[in-house]
Amino acid sequence: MKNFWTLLKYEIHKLIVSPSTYVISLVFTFSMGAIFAFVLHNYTTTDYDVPFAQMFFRCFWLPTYATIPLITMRSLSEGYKNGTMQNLFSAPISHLEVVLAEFFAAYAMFILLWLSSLVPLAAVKFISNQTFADAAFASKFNIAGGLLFVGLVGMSFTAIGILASSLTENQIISSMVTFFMLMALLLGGLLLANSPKIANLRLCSTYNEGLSFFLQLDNFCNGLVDSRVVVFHLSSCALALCLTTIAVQRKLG
Amino acid sequence: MIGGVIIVNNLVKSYGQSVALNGISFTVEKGSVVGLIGPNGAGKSSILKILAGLISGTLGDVIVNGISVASDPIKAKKNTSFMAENNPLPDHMRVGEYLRFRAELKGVPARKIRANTEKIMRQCDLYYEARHRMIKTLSKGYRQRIGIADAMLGDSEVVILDEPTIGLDPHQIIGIRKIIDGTRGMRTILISSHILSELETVCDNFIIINRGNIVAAGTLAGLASDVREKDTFLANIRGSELKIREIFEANGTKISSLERLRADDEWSIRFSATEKNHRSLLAKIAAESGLFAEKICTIEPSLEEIFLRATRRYRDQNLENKL
Repeated sequence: MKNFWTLLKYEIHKLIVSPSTYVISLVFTFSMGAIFAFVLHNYTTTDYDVPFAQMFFRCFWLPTYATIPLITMRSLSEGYKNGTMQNLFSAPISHLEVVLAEFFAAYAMFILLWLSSLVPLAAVKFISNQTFADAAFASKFNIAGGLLFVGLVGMSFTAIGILASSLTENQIISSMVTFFMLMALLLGGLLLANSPKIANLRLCSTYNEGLSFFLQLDNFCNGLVDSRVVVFHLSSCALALCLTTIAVQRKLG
Repeated sequence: MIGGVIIVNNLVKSYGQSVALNGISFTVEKGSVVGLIGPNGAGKSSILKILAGLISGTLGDVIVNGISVASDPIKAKKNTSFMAENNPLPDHMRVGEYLRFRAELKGVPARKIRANTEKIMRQCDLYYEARHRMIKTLSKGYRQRIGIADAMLGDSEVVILDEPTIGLDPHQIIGIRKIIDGTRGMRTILISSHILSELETVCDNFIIINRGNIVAAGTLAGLASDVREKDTFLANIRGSELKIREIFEANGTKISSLERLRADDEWSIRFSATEKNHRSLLAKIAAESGLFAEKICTIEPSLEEIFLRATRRYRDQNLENKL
């Protein structure tokens, strides 16, 4: 794995100089700003029994579902299409190193975007003299828990995006496959949650808990870190990356 | 087979139903420069990619520097540099930046990366004009030279170049030839190219492949004698052009070229005949016509002629077998 850092630097450099990174960042920032304003407006006009930060994080799925396909669609597809992937592999590097570098570069971008979305929260706190200790607005647990949850979900979702981009040379197809895979996960969870017969089965119940993102988010925001959720997302990520490595091997060799 | 830095044994490569390499075997000695020649679709790129560890063969063994490429491709790649045909490059990097990145991946020690990349950029004529330029702004010639510089980076023992001189002007081709000459004896270089005159200049040995089979292999002299059907002779003859043509035609000898040397009817004639009968043929011509042959010498076939004859012979043999 000694080439991992070299490859990660290369991938991050690729993201930094790519205009699409700035377009995605702009779209994400505007979306998050709009969501923040909408949630803040609702929060100030209606009585809610949950903190503002938790309400804000409940909207995580919208920017996540929109940005992950866009961030990951170029990862491997572009390299296949212009031939640079094959050129890269003429050096003594492993498929896993390349896949991990692609994954961590995309994931770092996702995390950076989310960290930037906390700026409006800090601004409101500063302007209104509210503190993060004020549990009604946003406690440290709410923010840390929400970010941890988004980070976990983002990890497995990014890995799915990288998997999709390893399957095709076409970036549009890659982003569509990612989007539909993520939607299938979300809708699958909702479907299971609303089907008592299926949900009562032992295996499905576990799966259901693994996919009930909104329930999990509430738990995390309230400081309840469920280790099963952590394992679920870590293992999903590992599985997707293993499949990606196999797909890259097959595609190139 | 023992002693070669590259040993290919019974290599087969299939893409679905299509067989690209049909059980080929060859050995490349350490320090030699070998040209791989073949028509389009002959399987040249497949061989080179398998040797570079980019794709795997369907059957057979490929050993580079004592390491099986199929069993341990990463270790094998440490001894091999590869420049792909068309040389795809990342457009978002600057030339110097890219070569430093490649040097890092190839395991060049950190303290040597700067010196190594600068040296190779100077050799490939990239240092002054292109090292700070973005790759996407460069012409085909520059991009080719970046690929060659990349292949020559590091201490890899085997360098594989797929069509390295496409898009280069004569000055640049001479520059690349100098780089190859500079490493002669130290590195083993395998070059595939369609510019046969270029290969003829730089290579010690040649492998000619056609439809996944090796149809001829060896040195230029060896190949020439291997594919020789008739020798080509050059004779200076005095006489009228019309008479010369008549006599040669009457004797069933085809004139390849006829060039006037001086005003007083002296001609340089190139013709093909077997080793046994060319002198008697000329004597007969002189006796019958009074034409006088001054000087006769044999012309060795060029690599292009060898290539054409070898591939034609293979095609004819195949046709005979089918019939």
